[in-house]
Amino acid sequence: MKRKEGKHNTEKIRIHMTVNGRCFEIRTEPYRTLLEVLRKDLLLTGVKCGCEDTNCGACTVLLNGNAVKSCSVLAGQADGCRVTTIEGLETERGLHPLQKAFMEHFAVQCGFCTPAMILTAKSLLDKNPHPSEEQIREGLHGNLCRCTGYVKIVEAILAAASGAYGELSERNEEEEQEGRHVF
Amino acid sequence: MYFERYERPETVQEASALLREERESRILAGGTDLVPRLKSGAWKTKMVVDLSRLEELQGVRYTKRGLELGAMVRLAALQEERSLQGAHRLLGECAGHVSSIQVRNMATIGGNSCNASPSADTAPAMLLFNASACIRRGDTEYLLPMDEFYMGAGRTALEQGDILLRFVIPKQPEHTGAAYYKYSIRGDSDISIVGAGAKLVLEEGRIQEARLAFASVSAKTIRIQEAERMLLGQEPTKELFQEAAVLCAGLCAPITDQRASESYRRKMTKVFAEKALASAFRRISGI
Repeated sequence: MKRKEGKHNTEKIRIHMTVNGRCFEIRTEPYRTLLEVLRKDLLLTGVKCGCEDTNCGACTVLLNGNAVKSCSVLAGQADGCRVTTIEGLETERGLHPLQKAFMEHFAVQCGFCTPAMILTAKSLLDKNPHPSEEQIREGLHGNLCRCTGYVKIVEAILAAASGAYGELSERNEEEEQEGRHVF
Repeated sequence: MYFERYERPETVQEASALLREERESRILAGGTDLVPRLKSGAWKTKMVVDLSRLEELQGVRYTKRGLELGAMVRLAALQEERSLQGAHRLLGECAGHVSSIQVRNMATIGGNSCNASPSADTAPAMLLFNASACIRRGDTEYLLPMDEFYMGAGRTALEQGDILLRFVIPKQPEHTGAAYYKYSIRGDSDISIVGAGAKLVLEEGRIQEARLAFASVSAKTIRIQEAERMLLGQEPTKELFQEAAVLCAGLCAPITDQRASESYRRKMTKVFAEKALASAFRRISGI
């Protein structure tokens, strides 16, 4: 995220996003990515900055429910959209079943890829609640685990899909809250 | 990464005016290639014009011209598209071969063609189906066959200010089969060593039309027309497909890079051309 601060007279753009159910109005430079806005402005550091080149998938967030790599999405592209980060998965009722399953199945080693793995898995299960192992592996193609802990990750997702850690469909973690936060 | 302006015009006219007003501008479709290139400094621009929400560039529909596919249709949506008919379903399969789901959720069918990567997975299907690009230049629209659209690695027939609106893909005859094989080491997230596409139209047991299109074995997506001609009027047999595949391997123009050597690419061109032909044929028989 190298950026020459203060050297340019770029006019800021104004964007509206609902992030984890909270509405935000953000003024930012046009050349900033969604990843930068989430981490640096909104301090949602569960979104990781890995390769910054659309390869590793550590920066995955959900944009209107679909997994995207936020390092290659301009902040402006997320204008008017719903964004979900790992911070948005926990509700009053506790951790998301996928989060519980990752803990129970030791699917977390260094943890750097974990938030993105869980979000990609969530988008996968939202569309296909009972995927096969092959479909899970295919769905996670864009997420690298540098600890190579894939076996445990796939096991955890299969367990979460089986309902062992709670019902997936009853959750509504993106319920919109009132009020607007201006940045 | 630095640029001065991010614009999201609401009409094609507005987009066209913006692109003509600022010559140092770039179109953003999904951004999955543009943004990394701007970040790395490979490309520089003053203005990014986001066309992804233009209504006119959306939609998958059949008209009397055939299948009209909006340039801003996302690859993930195309992969899931239920309305694709017959052999056209290959377009959805090819879209599904592009990278990971995160990329397909942003990337568009128009962007994949405009990038003109020699390895673009949706480009061979465009050539197989004799697709045309509907392009807006100035205040007029015209159709350009996709055979003439790809000019070289990263080069297309588009000029600054042009906007690719949609693809027009003719309806295919009844007994048509089409297939595409992507051969890569690490699945779809990887760039192909060879991408081989084939289309066969059969009439009374003989091949009435044949198309062979390849990714990653030339500076642009290519057809091997000598092999196509050789197939015409013949009865489809394993030996015939082998013969055509040998021609393809000899006539393609691959390079050696970190993914594969030139000679390996030729060998794999033969292997996958034959597989694609056999699969295209099976798909006709399967009707």
